[in-house]
Amino acid sequence: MKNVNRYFNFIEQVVKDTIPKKDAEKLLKTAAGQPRQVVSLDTSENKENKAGGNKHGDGGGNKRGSGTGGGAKKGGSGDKEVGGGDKGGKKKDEGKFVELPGAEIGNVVVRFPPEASGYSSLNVMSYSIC
Amino acid sequence: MGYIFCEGVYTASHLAGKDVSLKWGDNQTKASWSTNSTSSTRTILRILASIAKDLYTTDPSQKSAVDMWMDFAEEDLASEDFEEALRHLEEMLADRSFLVADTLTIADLAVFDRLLGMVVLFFNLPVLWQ
Repeated sequence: MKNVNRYFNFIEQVVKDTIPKKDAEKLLKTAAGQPRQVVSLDTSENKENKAGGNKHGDGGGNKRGSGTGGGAKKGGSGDKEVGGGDKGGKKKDEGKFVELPGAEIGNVVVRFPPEASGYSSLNVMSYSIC
Repeated sequence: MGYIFCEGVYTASHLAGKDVSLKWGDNQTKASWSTNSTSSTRTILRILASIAKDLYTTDPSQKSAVDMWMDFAEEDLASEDFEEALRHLEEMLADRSFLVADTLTIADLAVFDRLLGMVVLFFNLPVLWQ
């Protein structure tokens, strides 16, 4: 349910940005700012979600196009950090990241930020032309 | 069937202005205007979208896509077979941020409201609709 979660958090952010702040607090009753997620009732999917821990789709900011931009992400189960600049800190996202053979953590420089969807977005691709 | 969670409808009403008055009940939302009233969520969203034109797009083919997704939210996602519907949604969302076009539409709000009913909190406590 990776995409559904990303979508849900994204639309939630749009809703929060649209309605007045006072009403947003009243309507969006979340438990102490913890991200909510849609979990499939399939047992296999459930286990996967639990293993993944506290996921959070990055909703804010990029309002159009496919992928959701945002800086470098940690790998799914937090085993290995890909790329040095992890700005989000708490943010985790499961994406398709390629393991670099022989790469050292913190010493990898990437030209384009890793995309949450696994596909480079048009937005990012435009940097390579300009 | 009315919504308990109706943030999407609320957002639409905020974007539409105050030509339609909405009443928020315990388990259903009622919209009334000069000549009539309704409590069907789909109808409410369409009325609001006729005021806030952006929410219904302007392209005819995209309008029908919006209609399709609204039926999806009301019927497929609300049926017993919603697991299948969620899987379909997961596939469709693989490379997009919004369901239709590149802007927020009432299709997004309808699906968001329905997902909100299935939302599971951080501790995996299911919050079910009535």
